[in-house]
Amino acid sequence: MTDLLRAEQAGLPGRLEPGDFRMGAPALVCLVGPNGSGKTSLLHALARIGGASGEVWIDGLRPERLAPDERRRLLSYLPASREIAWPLAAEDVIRLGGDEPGARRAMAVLDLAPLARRRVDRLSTGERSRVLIARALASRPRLLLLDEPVANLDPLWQLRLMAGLREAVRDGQGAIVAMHDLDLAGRFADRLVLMEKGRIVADGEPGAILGSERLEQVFGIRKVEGEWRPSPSPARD
Amino acid sequence: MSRISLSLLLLSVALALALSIALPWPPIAALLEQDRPLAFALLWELRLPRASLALVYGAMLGASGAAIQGLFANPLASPDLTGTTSGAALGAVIAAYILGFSAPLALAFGAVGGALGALLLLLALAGPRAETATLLLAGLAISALAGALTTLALALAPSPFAFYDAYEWLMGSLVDRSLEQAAFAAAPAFLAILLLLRLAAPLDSLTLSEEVAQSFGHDVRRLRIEIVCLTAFGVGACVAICGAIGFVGLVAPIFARRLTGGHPGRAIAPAALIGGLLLLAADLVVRSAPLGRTLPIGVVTALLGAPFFLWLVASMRWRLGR
Repeated sequence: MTDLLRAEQAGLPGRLEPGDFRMGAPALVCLVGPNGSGKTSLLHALARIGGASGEVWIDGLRPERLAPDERRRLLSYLPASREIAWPLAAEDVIRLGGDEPGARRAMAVLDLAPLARRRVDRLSTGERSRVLIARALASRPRLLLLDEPVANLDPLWQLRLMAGLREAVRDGQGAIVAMHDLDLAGRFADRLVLMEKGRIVADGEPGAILGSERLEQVFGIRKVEGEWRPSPSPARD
Repeated sequence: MSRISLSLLLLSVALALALSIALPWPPIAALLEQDRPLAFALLWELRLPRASLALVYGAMLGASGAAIQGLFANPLASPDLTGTTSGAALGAVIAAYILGFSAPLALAFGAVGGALGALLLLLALAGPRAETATLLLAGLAISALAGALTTLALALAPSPFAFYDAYEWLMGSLVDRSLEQAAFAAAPAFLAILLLLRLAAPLDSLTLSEEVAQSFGHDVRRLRIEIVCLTAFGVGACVAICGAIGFVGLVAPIFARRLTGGHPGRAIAPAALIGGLLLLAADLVVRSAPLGRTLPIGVVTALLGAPFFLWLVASMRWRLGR
């Protein structure tokens, strides 16, 4: 069986060291790491954005070789920025992502019917986030590459989104999600990838990584009595 | 864009074109009775070039304005405000008065070169996705520089009548162009518009940011080069024949995006139609103005366009709450 995702020596000059990455069966993978550790760069390298090096296969296909319509059925990328250049209506933004049935389904998943005709520049940042996430879901891609999708969402929507991603994985989509909320990542992810200084430094089962010394070294925090606290120096250089 | 608004737009363009060829009607009617061949010659050799130049130049300005606004993600970008038309005028003046070429081909080369230079300078100064202030300042600087250099070139020109000679052309004029001259502007402009229309989908996806457009598989760098070259090519050819005409390239895309729900790429087609319509209308105003002499059409578009531009700037300021 072909891997859902296989990347060989994928990197971004100056931002991400070339490295291999593999996802066999559909899974929810969370990327964690401090600011500037290369989470966005890894997503860019996998989505083939901005002069990415190495080679990537999704479902055995190379995205570079595909026309835009086919490529967006293979992968979707959600940037961390929630800015949008033109004042489109919410539903029109979502339709930029995929065809009509896909857009309708994504709108239903994120409960956007009430906002459909509103202009995106007049929505709150959290509402706009949901619209942009729906845009990424609209093409029903094999692989979702999402950069901080839970940022700006209220607690209920954070949980709903993560549960929604779990459901997507059950339906056969893969998801790689960069995020800062370690607890949320630990609770929902199948696999946690820890990044530091443009490389992957740990990759494995969430529970093991969250309790590891490596995590404490990378983030400079540790869990004491159920809450995250700065570790006593000199863990972080 | 709905089919109804597209048909209405096409219909009004056709109507304006017909009016532009037919009006003023009495002399034609009189001639038709006395000398039919002369009447047809007048329609064919005087009225048709003027009307088709207005349509094509306006359409070129509208289409390239829409593409440039989409590219810079900024509703204040346009061929005139970014200094493209002034650059083209400078190139044509240098070709005509300093190098001494008079063939339309040499003028067109000069104008395309000038437009290309101005656009590349703009990209270098303002960057690919420019803030409004940087974009306007860079465009202003380029326009001012090109304007000053144009004046300098005319002052240094061997011909003592250069200023007088170039004045009418510089202000933008569609009068007394031959059918060949019209074809010389229309053919490149038409081609450039057709090629710009292909870029609608990548420009629309650019709404979601450059990275997302790249993740869709659009080559943003190539898109930028294509838009810059096509704009320089089409606008340059028009400027070489008709001089610099302002504001149409700014206003037409703004109306066009109202018809496309804000989509910048899909707005290229209606922006071309609206641009053609605006310039045909401006030319009708020029001809029907009871002044006893012809106004340069560039003056009319500026008189109509400048207040709109001021309103736009003010409304942007109010929206930002400053």
